[in-house]
Amino acid sequence: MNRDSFLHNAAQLTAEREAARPRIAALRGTVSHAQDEPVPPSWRNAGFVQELITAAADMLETDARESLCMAQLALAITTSLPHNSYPLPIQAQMEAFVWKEIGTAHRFLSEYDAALRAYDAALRSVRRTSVLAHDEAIIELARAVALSDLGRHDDALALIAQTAPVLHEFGDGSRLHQAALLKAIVHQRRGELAAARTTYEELVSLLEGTDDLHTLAAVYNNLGQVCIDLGQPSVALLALQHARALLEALDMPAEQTRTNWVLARVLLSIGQYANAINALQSIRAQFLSRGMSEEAALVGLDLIDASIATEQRDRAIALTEQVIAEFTAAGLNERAMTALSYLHDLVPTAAEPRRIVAHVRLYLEELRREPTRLFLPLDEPSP
Amino acid sequence: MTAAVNTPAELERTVDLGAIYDAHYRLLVGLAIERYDVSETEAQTLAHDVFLAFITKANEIMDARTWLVSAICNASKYYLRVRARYVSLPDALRERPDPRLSRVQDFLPEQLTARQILACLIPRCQLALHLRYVEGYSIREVAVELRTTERYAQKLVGKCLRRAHECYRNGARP
Repeated sequence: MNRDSFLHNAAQLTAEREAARPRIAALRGTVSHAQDEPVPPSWRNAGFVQELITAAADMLETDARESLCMAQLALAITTSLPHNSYPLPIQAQMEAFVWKEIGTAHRFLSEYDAALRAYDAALRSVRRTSVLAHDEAIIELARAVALSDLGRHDDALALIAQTAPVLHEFGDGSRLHQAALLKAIVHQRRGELAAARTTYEELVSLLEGTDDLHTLAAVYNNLGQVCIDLGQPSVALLALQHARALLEALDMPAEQTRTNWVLARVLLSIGQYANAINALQSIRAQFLSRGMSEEAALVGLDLIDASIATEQRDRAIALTEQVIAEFTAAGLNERAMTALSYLHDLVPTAAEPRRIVAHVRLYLEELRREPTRLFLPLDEPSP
Repeated sequence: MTAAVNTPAELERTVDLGAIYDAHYRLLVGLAIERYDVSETEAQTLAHDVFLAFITKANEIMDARTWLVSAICNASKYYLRVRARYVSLPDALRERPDPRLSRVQDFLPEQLTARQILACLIPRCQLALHLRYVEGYSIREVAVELRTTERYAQKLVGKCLRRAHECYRNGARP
């Protein structure tokens, strides 16, 4: 009896997923419209929801907003499925995956409070049944990433310590590597650069030769960044080039652009300004075309820095005005405007304008993690 | 810095779920009974639920045996933790119905109707009402989730509630 019921559920889900695929492929690019239309009866099933979750995860890299819309549509369908349509483990797992995808999309959009709320809802879902310990560990790991992004490093480390044994127990080697990677990231964010570098290098040797190219690319990327901070630009360039090649093979354009950005910053740091400016202009255009306004603004600050370094203050001022206009159009954090206006006012006359650019850049990065952070001007010597 | 927690979708593998079930069912039930002293009926239910949880993950799990054994062990421990909190009822209460079911004639239809009403709304309304009234989000949190202003979120929730009332009056038909 149990066997038949299990196989019946499996066959039903497989059939529902197969039927859903073409419908969801047709939805791409128009999901927000779908949220304002009645849901067709053929969409109201777990297979459709699972395919929406997969599509949302696939889309995260290229369009986090669309990914969020997909996951939200999945939530709306999940919560209105007829009572007892599926056994509790399937229902709870489906709801948890939907919430996890919502949380991750918010994290990609730097909306950390919303991400944590979604991860909490995902945890409530998995805890409705006794058999989702692995999923619980996966969600906790995703939550640890968000906490680390928020600078809550101790909380992130505690979650990693709690989830790693569970992942090990379930034989989930891939996520164990991701947990180790996150631990190294926490080291790096805390300024424990040597420890971070050691962990990244250990992970490279563990992952080389496996098929987990995605984690390997992330490790190379971070190794590159930590080597920049350690003042080893040649090692950094090598690692970043490895990362870029892997991301290209994996067809992950947004991550590739981020890696190119780090490479351009290495060029900037070693004084190859012309190459850096060319690369940064292209990177900025790519971020803008994907609607990633905050990233585009930060690249804009790198370009302002490069313009000042090459004695083009007029160009730096024009770029600052452009970035301010883009920020205003995107309706981004008003505190960022204060910092950018401060930069705009001081660049023409400041004795050390690059110091001001670095200060504003650091503030904008911190603002993404802490949206209410106040901007404090530098103690700038009089010109 | 990049954290690789969003692994791209795994390539689909063909997994023979029937064969996996046959190869592991007795092992899982036996483990729950022998290692955790779970009754046979409960052990069978736990094993069945473990297999149900396995369906959606079958393609990404490389070692089904390790995963299933770990899942039944965790499920058994969870079950024992929950059972430890149970207190047996006094004899006098044995004949009385569960107090939670005293209003079952009211709340069961209410729950079913609520789901029917949600199903007849557009997804944006379902989402707004679910976040506000099931998850307990504040209007500000609903606004963040829907990437809109608080003012619009407030209006949306009001509009969706009115639409839900209309659905109810129409017998919850879309």
